[in-house]
Amino acid sequence: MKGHLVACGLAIAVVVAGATPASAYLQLSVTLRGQVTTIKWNQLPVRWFSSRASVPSVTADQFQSTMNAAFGTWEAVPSATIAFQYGGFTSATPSDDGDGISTLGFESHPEMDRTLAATGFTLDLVSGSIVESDIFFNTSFEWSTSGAATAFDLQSVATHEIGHFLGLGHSALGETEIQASGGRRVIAAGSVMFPIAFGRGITTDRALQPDDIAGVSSTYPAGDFSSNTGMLLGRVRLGGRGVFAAHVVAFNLRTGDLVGSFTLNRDGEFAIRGLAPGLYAVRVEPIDDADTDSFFDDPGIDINFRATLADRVVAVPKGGSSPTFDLTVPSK
Amino acid sequence: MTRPLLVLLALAVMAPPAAAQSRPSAPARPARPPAQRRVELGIGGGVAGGLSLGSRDASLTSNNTSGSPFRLFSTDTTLAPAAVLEGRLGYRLTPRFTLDGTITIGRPELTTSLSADAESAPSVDATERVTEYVVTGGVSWRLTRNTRRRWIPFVSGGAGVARHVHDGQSLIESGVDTYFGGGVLRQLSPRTGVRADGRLHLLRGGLAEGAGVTPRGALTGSIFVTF
Repeated sequence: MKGHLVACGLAIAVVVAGATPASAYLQLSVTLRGQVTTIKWNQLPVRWFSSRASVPSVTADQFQSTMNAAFGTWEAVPSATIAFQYGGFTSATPSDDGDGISTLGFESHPEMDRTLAATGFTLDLVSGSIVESDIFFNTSFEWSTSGAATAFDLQSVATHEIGHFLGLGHSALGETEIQASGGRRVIAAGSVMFPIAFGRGITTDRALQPDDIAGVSSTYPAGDFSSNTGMLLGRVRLGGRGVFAAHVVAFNLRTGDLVGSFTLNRDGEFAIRGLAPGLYAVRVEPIDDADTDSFFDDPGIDINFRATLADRVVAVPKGGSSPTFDLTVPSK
Repeated sequence: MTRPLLVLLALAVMAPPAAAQSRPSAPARPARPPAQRRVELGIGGGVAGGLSLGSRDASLTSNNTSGSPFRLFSTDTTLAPAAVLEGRLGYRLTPRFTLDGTITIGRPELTTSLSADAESAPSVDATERVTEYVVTGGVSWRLTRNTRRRWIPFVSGGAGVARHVHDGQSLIESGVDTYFGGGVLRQLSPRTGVRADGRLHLLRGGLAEGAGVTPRGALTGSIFVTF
């Protein structure tokens, strides 16, 4: 087993006013022997450890209990089977990649002046299984466990990072605006996995949203998840060709749930799994063009089209998929 | 609720009419009036009114301490009025009281208006054709005695299931349909007649899930034969 391990250096960060959203409910994946493989934990429960590092406003014990609450939020999703086990305090640090210990803790990274926290992985390159994941929280920022107005909410950011810890990518379900300083500020988000954190004192990301729940449930489905939910299939086209990396949002007309995904090939095809059966309105938009390569390591991302509301609703069945749905978008 | 009514109706249809049990050997008694025809079979058509299935915003969570909703776009969904075909099986328990089983089939258009997009995407009407089946069991009560060549008013009520089958039969939604209404009927001959119905339907669940109890009207006309 050890011979297959590799410290990927794959780090996913939540940032403050710096990056651009890309993918809604995106499962992280790697290419192994020519096959795209979704990365996930294959052995449950996942054991995690807490470092003893602290900051003036958060003790080590407060840190541990806050992480426990954030793990519990994901564990409580009834349609997913993920389970965690707290292993205790450790002298290891989140930067100790490849030690086999998944460590969460504070670390000082003053050079990362827009990164609140980040998650790294160690993978088994044969199976794509996560064998270790570490999360650091940057002590360059002020943290709070009580929603203090001057600090970032530790539990909210931890909930986001644990989504990465589980193998989820960033969500593009959100709206941002460019700041005078050059960065971006989030106006609103529809997913804990949106890459730009809410402002100081805001604790709303402690609770998962439908996009997050669909993502973790698709990665770690409970027994009846696949038979109780459906999939929306479609293509996004521009001038007769497929659109790559278009952000597609499905809106359940009954429940009001929003779940997103992306077109992930040159034919513009997309699939949104884990949807409650029902009728859906569909909206397509380009990812924000400020920093597209933060999310897709591909120069061929299509952003030269306008946000479009589909002119038909789509029925998603229980345990099946919708008829393939074509949507043509206009160029900018 | 539909099922017990339909079972009752089926049992009633199978029971031999009491008037048929006369003794063949009865000598020289006055002729009995003809046996009352109890079973009615009707077919017709009409219009089912539209349904308002409500408005809903696709909302994100705002970047503020209250987490107030941020509207990404708005939706408003309606089911358009549509022509329907109607079949009815009735059983007259008494001269004035009839058990009715009815099925109506239509192909209304479901329209969702999408507007107020946060990034100014053009507003559109998203449409889909659905097949609608409404199966109900109920009763009707004639307000006057049956008289030939005269319009007879009646009132009716019942309940059943409304099923909506979406394009490609990929999704079937079932809700509870309750109705009440009335109309007039007229016997054209001893075995045939015409009937006009006006009903107010109340749909709960199914296509109207999340919209509460939604009302709609329906007007149908039919011809019927009695057995």
